[in-house]
Amino acid sequence: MELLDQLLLGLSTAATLNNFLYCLAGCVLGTMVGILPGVGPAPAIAMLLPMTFTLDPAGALIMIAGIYYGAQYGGSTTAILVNLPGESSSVVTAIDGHQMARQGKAGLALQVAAIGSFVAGCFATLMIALFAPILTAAALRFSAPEYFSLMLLGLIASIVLAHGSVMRAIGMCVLGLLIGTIGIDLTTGTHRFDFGMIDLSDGIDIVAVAVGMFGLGEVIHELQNGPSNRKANSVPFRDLIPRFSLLRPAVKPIIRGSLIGSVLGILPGGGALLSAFASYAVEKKLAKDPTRFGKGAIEGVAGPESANNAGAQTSFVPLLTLGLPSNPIMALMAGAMIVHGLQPGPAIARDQPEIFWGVIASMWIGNLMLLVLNLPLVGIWVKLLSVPYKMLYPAILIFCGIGVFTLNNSAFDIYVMVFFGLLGYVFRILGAEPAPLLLGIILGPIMEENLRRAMLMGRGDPMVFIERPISATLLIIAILALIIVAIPAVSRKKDVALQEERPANHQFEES
Amino acid sequence: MTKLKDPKDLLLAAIFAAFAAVTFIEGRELEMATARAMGPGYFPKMLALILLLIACALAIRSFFGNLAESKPKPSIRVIASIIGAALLFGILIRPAGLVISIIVSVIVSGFASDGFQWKSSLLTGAVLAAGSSIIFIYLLGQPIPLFGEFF
Repeated sequence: MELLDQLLLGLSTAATLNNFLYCLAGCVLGTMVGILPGVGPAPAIAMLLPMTFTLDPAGALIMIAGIYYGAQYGGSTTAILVNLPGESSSVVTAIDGHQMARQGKAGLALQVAAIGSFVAGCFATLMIALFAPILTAAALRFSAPEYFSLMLLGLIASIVLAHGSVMRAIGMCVLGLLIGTIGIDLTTGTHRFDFGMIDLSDGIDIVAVAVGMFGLGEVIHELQNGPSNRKANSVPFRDLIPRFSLLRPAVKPIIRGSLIGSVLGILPGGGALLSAFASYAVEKKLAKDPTRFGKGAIEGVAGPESANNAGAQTSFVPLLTLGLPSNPIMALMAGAMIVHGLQPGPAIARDQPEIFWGVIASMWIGNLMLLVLNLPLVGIWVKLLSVPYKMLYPAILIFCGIGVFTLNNSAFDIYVMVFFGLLGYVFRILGAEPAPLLLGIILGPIMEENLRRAMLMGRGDPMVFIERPISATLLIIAILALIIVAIPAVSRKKDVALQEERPANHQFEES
Repeated sequence: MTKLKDPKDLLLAAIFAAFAAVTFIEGRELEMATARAMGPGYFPKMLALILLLIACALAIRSFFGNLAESKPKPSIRVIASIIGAALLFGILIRPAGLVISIIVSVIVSGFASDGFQWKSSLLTGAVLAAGSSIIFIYLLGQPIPLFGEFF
């Protein structure tokens, strides 16, 4: 069986001692990042990216992936014990999880979260293994018009899912594409918008932008909102030993959450956050007594926790198969791949299957590690919360600076980071989300290249995008999505869905 | 007389318009060429045009749209000290090296939190400088100057 062979190839890559250790390092760092409020996965990956440059490509990607899904596990711990979501997709978990903790069921909530995440992670790994080859095969037959339409769909999805005004999100996205054109034009070799600065001729480094917007932006934001209460509920160790009779009501929500997360994660623009919200809504709808939700319903922890983990993992699919990063973290992952000389897209699975399958198999290994790291060691992790933010934020600031400096060994990137940190903060005050901007910057050059090629193929006639069935379908989906959110009733509903019970200070961070 | 309903939209419109204007001015010599064989100016100028249209729409909406609730004012002290600290880090890293730039930016960033203390800032700076030097320079072998060109 081909699938089995490929998974075995992946396991043999992921299980080498080095890659095993990188996976462990990624998971530990991810858990830390998830637990510490004010450090989301996006700035964490951006800060730690330079550390992975010295590794081989497979090891680097395995570690970065570990940080991302590790953060989903860690985030749930603080959400339950402190009512402080360590990262944005745990916001939903905090609603019922913290109520459970206050009723003395913290141990059960943590178990459900960890076990649900583990089950979902395994399920998502299998889904990736099943569907990635199909998408890869399709993508290998794409040419310029299909690629352009696909990228457009990806951008529109990020606009549709952005929080707040659609018009603002479109503006952010177009601005991102525009910033992406800075640097030497690949087709003609012309210098564009470099304002006479040599440092700009290679374009703007996406990592510097992301660290500025998420890292610095987050620090400024946290400091303005004042100190938050970080007192953790304690958990006796015996409460952490699973008992099936108590876990039973969580079984079905975990299965549903895994499914919802796996599907929504694959969609461009999707990921952990969307999956968690969708799962919560589904569980509330299916419950016999929906009034229990918000008061410590076990389903409200089991479903979203499974969904966010599954979604985090399957959001790798569009990047690895189509070369389309669906959220800022995947954009950073794409940046990392390019540094290692890998062009994100279908060619990876074809030409370097050991890297592709190695990353996928490492996710399964990583999920097992996280289960061991999280449940018995929860007491140690919670200790991290006693670090005051006063000591934490200078460290975040310094790591951002060092991380960005080592990208190209140039202070110029630090100025780029500062510029976008400030700009990002202004945008945040003005109610414009940074995710569409970031995706625009990374997709800009690829979109332009494909647009030019497609127009050349169509002899200057834009009909080329409509005459080709796949391209036309992608465009129709994109336009439909845009029309649907533009309808006032839907847009109001979307905001309610995305905002409902979400604490004001964590709505910003991606995922 | 219509009143300004949402100053956020208007400010955002101004920022977008400014970026579009810069594109047109900086890119005035970039060739548009034809849609069939696009020149280096085609894509960016099209984007700038779209951005300008969005800016107009936002500007109009800021007068006729829904009334926006006002938000608390951002603290200039926090923004200035964090941005200043990051900027100083960039300025100092080459000439003064990692250790000094870390200590300086930690002290500057300290002004962002309530109750600045020299002692704790210096201590945090020293710990971070030592830790980062060990991790990034000795363990990871990153080519960062420990002490810069000044020394």
